Amino acid sequence: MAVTESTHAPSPEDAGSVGIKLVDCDVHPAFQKAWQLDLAPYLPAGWARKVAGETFNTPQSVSQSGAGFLLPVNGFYPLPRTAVRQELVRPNEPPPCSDPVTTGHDLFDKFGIDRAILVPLVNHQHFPTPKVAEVLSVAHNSYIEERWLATDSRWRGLISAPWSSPAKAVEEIERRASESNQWVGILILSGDRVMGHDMFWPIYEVCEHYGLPVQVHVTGAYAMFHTGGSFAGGLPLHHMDYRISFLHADQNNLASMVSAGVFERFPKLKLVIAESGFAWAPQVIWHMDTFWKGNREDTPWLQRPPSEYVFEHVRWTTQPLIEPPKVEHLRAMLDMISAERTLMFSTDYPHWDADEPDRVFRALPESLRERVAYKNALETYGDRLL
Amino acid sequence: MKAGEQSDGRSETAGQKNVSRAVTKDALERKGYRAVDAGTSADVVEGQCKIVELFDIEVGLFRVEGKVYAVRNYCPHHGAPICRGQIGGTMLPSAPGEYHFGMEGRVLHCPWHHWEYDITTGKSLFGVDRSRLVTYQVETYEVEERGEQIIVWVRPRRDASSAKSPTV
Repeated sequence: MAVTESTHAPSPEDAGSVGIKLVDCDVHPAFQKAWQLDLAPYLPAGWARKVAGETFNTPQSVSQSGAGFLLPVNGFYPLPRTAVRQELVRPNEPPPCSDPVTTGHDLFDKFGIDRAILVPLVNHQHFPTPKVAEVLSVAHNSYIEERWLATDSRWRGLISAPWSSPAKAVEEIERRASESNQWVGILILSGDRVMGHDMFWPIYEVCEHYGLPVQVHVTGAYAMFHTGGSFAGGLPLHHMDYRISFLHADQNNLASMVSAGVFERFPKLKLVIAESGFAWAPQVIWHMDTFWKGNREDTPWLQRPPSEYVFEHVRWTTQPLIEPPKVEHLRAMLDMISAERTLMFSTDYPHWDADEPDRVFRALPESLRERVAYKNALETYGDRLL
Repeated sequence: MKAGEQSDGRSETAGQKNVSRAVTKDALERKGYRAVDAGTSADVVEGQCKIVELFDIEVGLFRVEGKVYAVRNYCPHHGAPICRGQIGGTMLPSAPGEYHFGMEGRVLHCPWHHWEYDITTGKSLFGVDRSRLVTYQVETYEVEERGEQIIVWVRPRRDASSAKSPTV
């Protein structure tokens, strides 16, 4: 398909002509063996040894602390059971969602999904050395391209952007976006720099140019490492409060991008906040409006209320869909966030708390279902989704 | 009468200075306004507010670039005594990251929630470039300086004949 520099929002008729009725905006691909081994073919000379150590995965390497890179992962708030759906774990088989064919059976065949956007939570962006984050992010993008995107035209990818080296991130985004329309956005893994900061603006500029939304997602490295950002209020004690604290980064980054004037400067840019839920958003939106009205002169470049910027530029994914005891509370929340514009379906496959399509759409009012299923995704990701 | 309302365009007679808009005495009286003696010109200086009670209404008098303006001492947001807020300038609309100071002496900052109003128009500054936004407006009044006398046209809420403020 022809590569476009900037996209328009395709019409539902365009989507219908290629059979798109359901888009999954948050699927998490895994490595088959270990990231050090899976990425080795895509790394520059000498780096395979750097990342894996001389004797990978042997008693010798285990006993040599500091041999090879370890991905920042959180070992403090474990789940009592598997982090993925337990029935997907099969002995002597690769991990769930590591093989595009078997994953495609579930997503495309069983769930009826027409386009699935891959969101790899591999934490490469959190390495404190920018060069390491760069090399691993570039290698990972190549891995996704060959191992996933090339295997089925229904996969879509997010370009992992090594934001600690903004110039390199821009170069990588330009390269991938101009090579293939299967890259539909970029992935920023929430870290220790708020996203309204100037350092991100060259990245936003190139994203706007290519019509690529910026998709954010917290990771297991969040607040476990200095580069992963921090929790508000201190370290949580248990898994439940750990998961609640994920909201801090998304709230902060949303307010940061609005207040800094990112959407004023880049009027076509979109932000997708994935796997954060959306029910926290109304208060944040109303609070931003209140504080903007009262302190307008602190951010005099905002020509409109923050709420207007949010509804125009920001999108949320459905998973994990809230399950309030009263259905009218869900309906009220959907109304408050203007879900007909802002909400997009996601599964979070293969995680333990993934949502299947029929469960989600059963809970939504009928008037919202098509918007959430694919129309909002088409408007957000553009004709790269077709 | 609020700033922004239209008049029938005929001007007042000569001898009065600083008429804020061409309105007629008849047009204001038809709408229930009465001209009230609000004090002397010397009482109202730039950068300060003089609060007077006209009929049953507290009104703040401001002088901006030589002209006198009258604003009801009531913020439409939560009813704060807005005329007790700071008078100053503000940061003007700009490109992201830039600050340009302006409107010195023309901005009234509500003492409670800091909403900014343009004293000369009564309009809130947020959303100043946008017509779709619901702007808030502080109630403003017609002002004349007749010699050294400040006249404010106020519409009393009670029967004017029982009010204490002297009409002129």
